[in-house]
Amino acid sequence: MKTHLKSAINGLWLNKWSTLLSVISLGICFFILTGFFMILYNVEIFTKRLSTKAAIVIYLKDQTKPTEISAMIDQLKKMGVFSNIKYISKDEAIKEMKNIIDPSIIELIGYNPLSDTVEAFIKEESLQDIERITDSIKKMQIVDDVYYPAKIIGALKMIKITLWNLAVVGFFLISTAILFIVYATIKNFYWKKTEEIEILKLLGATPSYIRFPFLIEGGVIGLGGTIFAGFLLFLLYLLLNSRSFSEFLPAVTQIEFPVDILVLMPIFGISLGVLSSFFALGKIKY
Amino acid sequence: MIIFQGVHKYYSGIPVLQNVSFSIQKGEFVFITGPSGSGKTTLLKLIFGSEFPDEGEIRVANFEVSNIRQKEIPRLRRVVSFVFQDFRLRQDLTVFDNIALPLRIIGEKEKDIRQKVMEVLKEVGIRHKVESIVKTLSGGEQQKVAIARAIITDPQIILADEPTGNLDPEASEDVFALFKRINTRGCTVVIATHNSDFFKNKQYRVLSLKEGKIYENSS
Repeated sequence: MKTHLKSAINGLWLNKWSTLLSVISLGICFFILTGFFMILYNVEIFTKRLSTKAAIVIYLKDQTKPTEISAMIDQLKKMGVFSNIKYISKDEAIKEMKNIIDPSIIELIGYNPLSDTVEAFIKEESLQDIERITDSIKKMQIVDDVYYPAKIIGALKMIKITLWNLAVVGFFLISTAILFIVYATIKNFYWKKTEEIEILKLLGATPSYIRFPFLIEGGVIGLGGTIFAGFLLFLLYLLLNSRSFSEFLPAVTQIEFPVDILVLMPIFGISLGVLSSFFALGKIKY
Repeated sequence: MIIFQGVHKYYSGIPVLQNVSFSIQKGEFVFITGPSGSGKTTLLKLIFGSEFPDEGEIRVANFEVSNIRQKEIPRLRRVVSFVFQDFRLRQDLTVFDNIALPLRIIGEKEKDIRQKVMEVLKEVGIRHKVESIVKTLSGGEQQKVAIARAIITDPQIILADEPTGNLDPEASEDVFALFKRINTRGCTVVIATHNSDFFKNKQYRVLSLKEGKIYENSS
């Protein structure tokens, strides 16, 4: 192991400029990859927040008895799909309306035209079943009508799916670019060491003995790339949290930064580096 | 130890070896001679598993070289060492690191490696050059390093292709004496050379190659 490590370090040092350029290229790729992930992560949070704020409004029939209302609320609770259920009587609703519209206009009507309503806030995980849930609510005897912001929820779903698909495509494209960068670098290192490798073969070295230093080199380049990307992300983080930036783009400073990614990234970088080195070396023939 | 049975080898359809059959026993010292292009190097490469016959069978130290699998070749090369005319040394490394290379390949401990390298350097007579970079050595010294590297793993067979081809007469005598010493320890030595001075008027087994055919004669 010590011999392989020494050989790998020597190899990287001898090709220091190629190594540095590969690390920077990989760093930029990993930075973009993490950028994709961050956008996706924040869109998830954003849609979650927004959709939990959208309530199903249930309009009740006139003359509904309080016992019937509380029975219906119990039934809604039993469904287990709502995070919050709130009853608003027609008297409360008109009071609220008077705060928005000129009360004299309402008095002109001469009676309270509003219905008793129940606002039910759906849980994020049940969002995809919203149509089925509203249908079952509509079937309840005391329910007059049900309203939910279908267009908003549909648009959010669409944005989420589009971003996920884009992220998957981006992930594969950038991962492929990373594989190719390491592949080309290690292939170049291998060619430079052809004479050395031929000597090793003549002395009875096994393919794994020959491969090992190159796999280490690939892993180190992958790790270096992620460290560089981490550095770029740190700079970005500082920038997003700077005072002048928050005044300039206040919405952007709401971005959340998943710290877990800083642990996963080096593992991913090393794995990609080792994998592409393995492919770069191909089958070692005698 | 080495058995050739009806071996044919062609390069681009041109026969280099034709129906070559011979055997070499353990501990023998054999010269393979013949003019340039007669197939001496090809014959050594066939023993070493870096070339394969088009017809016939080759057996070397329990290895069926004519049908050897790729993964068995490293194992073959741990019992058969090759000394090249152009040395094939790592010019950028020290004498120590060059000789230690085969031991590192088989995973020997560093402490044992140092001891073995020093012993073998003493045997070939260049102990004082242990820390020298190979490219600073003379041809004769480099050939001694190559021989030291070949014998460090205690192989059963040593093959040498024109080992004195690039050396002056004095250095050649030294190298030849070294091979004889190695042979006395029971190691089979096969030397390909066109220089008949080494075996002229001496009792050695000589295999002559002429137009791809082998002839046996004692010197």
